[in-house]
Amino acid sequence: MKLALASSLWARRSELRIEVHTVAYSPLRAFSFLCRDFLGLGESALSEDYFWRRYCGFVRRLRFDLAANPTSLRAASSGAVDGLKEYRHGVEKRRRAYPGMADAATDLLDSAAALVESSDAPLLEHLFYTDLLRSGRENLVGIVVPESRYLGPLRRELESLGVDAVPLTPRSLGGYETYERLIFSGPTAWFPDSVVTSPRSSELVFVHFDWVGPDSPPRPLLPGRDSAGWGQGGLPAPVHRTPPGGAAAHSTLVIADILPTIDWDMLQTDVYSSVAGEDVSAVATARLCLLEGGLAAFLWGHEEGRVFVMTFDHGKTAVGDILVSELTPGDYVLLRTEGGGDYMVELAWRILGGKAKAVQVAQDHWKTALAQQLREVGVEAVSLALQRRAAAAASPQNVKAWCTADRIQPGTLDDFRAVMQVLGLEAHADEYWRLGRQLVRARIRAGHRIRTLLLEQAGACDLEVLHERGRADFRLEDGGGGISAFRVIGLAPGTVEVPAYRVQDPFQLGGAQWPG
Amino acid sequence: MTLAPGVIGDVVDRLGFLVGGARLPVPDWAAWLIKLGAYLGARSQSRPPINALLGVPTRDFAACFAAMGVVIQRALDPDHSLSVRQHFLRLASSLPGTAVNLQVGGRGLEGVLDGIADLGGDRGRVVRVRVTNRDGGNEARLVPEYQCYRVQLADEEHSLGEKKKSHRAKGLTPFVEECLGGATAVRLVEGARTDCVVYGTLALLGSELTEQEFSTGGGVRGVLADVVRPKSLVGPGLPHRSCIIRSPVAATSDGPEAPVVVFDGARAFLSGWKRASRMNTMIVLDRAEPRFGDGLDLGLALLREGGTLREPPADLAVMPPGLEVAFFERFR
Repeated sequence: MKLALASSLWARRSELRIEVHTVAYSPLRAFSFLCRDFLGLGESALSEDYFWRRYCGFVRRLRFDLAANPTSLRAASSGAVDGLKEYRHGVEKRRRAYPGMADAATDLLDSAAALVESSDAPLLEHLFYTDLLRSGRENLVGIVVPESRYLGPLRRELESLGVDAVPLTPRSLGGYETYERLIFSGPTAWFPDSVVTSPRSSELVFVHFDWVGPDSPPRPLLPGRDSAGWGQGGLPAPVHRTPPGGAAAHSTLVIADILPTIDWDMLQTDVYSSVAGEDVSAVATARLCLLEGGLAAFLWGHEEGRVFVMTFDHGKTAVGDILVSELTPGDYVLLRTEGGGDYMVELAWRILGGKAKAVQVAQDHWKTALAQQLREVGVEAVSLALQRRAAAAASPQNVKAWCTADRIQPGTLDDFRAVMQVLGLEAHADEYWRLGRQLVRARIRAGHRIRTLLLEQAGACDLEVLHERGRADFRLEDGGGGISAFRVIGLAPGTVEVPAYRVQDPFQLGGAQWPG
Repeated sequence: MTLAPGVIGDVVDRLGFLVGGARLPVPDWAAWLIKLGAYLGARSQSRPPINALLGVPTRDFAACFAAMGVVIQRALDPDHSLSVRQHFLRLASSLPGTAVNLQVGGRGLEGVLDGIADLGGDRGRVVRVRVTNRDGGNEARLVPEYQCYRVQLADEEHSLGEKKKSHRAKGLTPFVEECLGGATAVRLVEGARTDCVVYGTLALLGSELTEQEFSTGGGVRGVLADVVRPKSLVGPGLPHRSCIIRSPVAATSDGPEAPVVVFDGARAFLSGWKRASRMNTMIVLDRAEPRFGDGLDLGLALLREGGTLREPPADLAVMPPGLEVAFFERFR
């Protein structure tokens, strides 16, 4: 890269000016306060009832979409009309059991119904009124929205209005492209700190409704009284602008109440119940990963579980594998969507060729024995027995993982010997270890091959479409079938036990698909 | 040794970068990073080690400029004289007639060793070198012990009496000479050692070190790799001064020893920090990178566990806008 580009980014930071514009719109304010009051009552009182939990998630999500999407309220809440009908029906069914709650819920739905039919676009109108969308020089104006789902409708609306501004998400701002002005639809807390601390324009404007706030400063490098606030790191304090005749906010909702969250408990319960009845001869520890487009996947949950990801650094696309525990929202995981199973495992067997059978027999022999041992005496007892034989890595989690195809064998010969001793297979230790190492080397070669194939595909990927849709599909040569890149929405904090074959197999979520 | 701001300041003043044929001065943030590298390099013997945790709008070129500062500072370091003494001993143990190259005013003359002489008194010991003069004959040159780095063992035999074209020492490019001045430039290419280890993405660092052209006020062009001299990028047989390690690295405590370690990005820091527990470090955290928060959490945890915040040194007190720094000493 060129030093001039780097200098331009430093210059944007040193010349930074920040404005905050607050917009009044009373129907949405009224709905938001009703929502706040209902959530305050409902979420704790009804946490065991999944209908009300889904209802709360639905209204929370609707409130956020209406507040954050600068398009018309109708476009911002597309899909909510059916949801409103469905929940109205559900509320009526529960009126007898929850009379007070049902009244409040109905009032909220009535308030929402008026909004989702409205063609008003208060935030966009404000941008026109204040001339913020006008660009005079070489660079364009960008409108940054918190979620990529808003990009398509916003783009269409701007095109219909003949506006040249570029819809963006925070993810789009990681490269070298700079803008004359960047307009953010929401307060600073809805966006990563980097939009301010590593800005792609020297003019940042945060536009949001007057009941949302405050606009908090980015996390300082050093915590402490003197370093907090907008002055730290030389950041300019924002200039606040209220439209003429705009009302001061009567009260301010705390940011945390507005940002959608993922109800992992409910999600995992929903998903887990769908796999509970399946064949559990091979069980794996997994973490649920929520993906763009209402999809999800279980990823390896043991401490060394890895997944292929596509990354973008300084305009270059790369493919690699990282620890599942290192995944963050916004990353792109690569999962097989056609062909089934783990392609790396399949390719490794092919690489082994004639040696595969002996390796497979050895793996099946001791893994089956280990799984049997776990069923008979329990994982804690087996783990303890191994640790008494100085197996350093024999945590219960690892012991379970060693039964699966993902973990070929323990990382050290000493640990492996301990496992074979516990299983009464000590006589086979050296031979099985050697065969396992062959599989390890084949997996490494398979990983390199897959990386090469994916890189060839990723290089031709339309990144703009990928960032907007949150998904891109590829076909691998070599019989690899279909593989897709999915944007990660969230990764569950805990692990669950699922049939091993479900791991890395994306599936459609029913019910609530989005964080709510 | 205290920092020699004059020398570093001179280097910064001489250095410009090329954009479409035009030459621009290095930006303030780059100059600051060069000085930071020099500061850390000057205190390589200090205990406890010093750490500089940086938050930057972009980490592009940050590690490379800092490494440049380290390498230049270390070339000025009088402790370098230890290697001068070792070099003198090596010359003294070489046979008379051994082919050498003698640096005179930035130019190299071919010659042969003619032994060591002790002139006594203030003049002390000298290396005697017979070089070919302009007329094609040979003449004796006496090089004081403290300047013996100007005498380098040659790879090829050359016989005296032939008029040979003088040449530059291997690795000593016109750009390095113009940038650093003759004596410092020669010291830079004298012997191989690792003054600085940089952990980061090989492709990105390599690109920064080799693709961006710089030039001196006199119009002589070069790249940062000419000064930073990473082992993987200098030519075969040429002395290196730094080392680039691809990150992420295995989380062990093994790694090349160097007075200063630079982590280019949070990912490099998160995977490699254990390798630098006893060394001065510079940790560059790009505010826009996905794992900035994780990197910052680790940095603050190290500070809490056994570190003491320090004020920035006077030479570095004026920071470029957009730069955030925490200096701390770490006791364990």
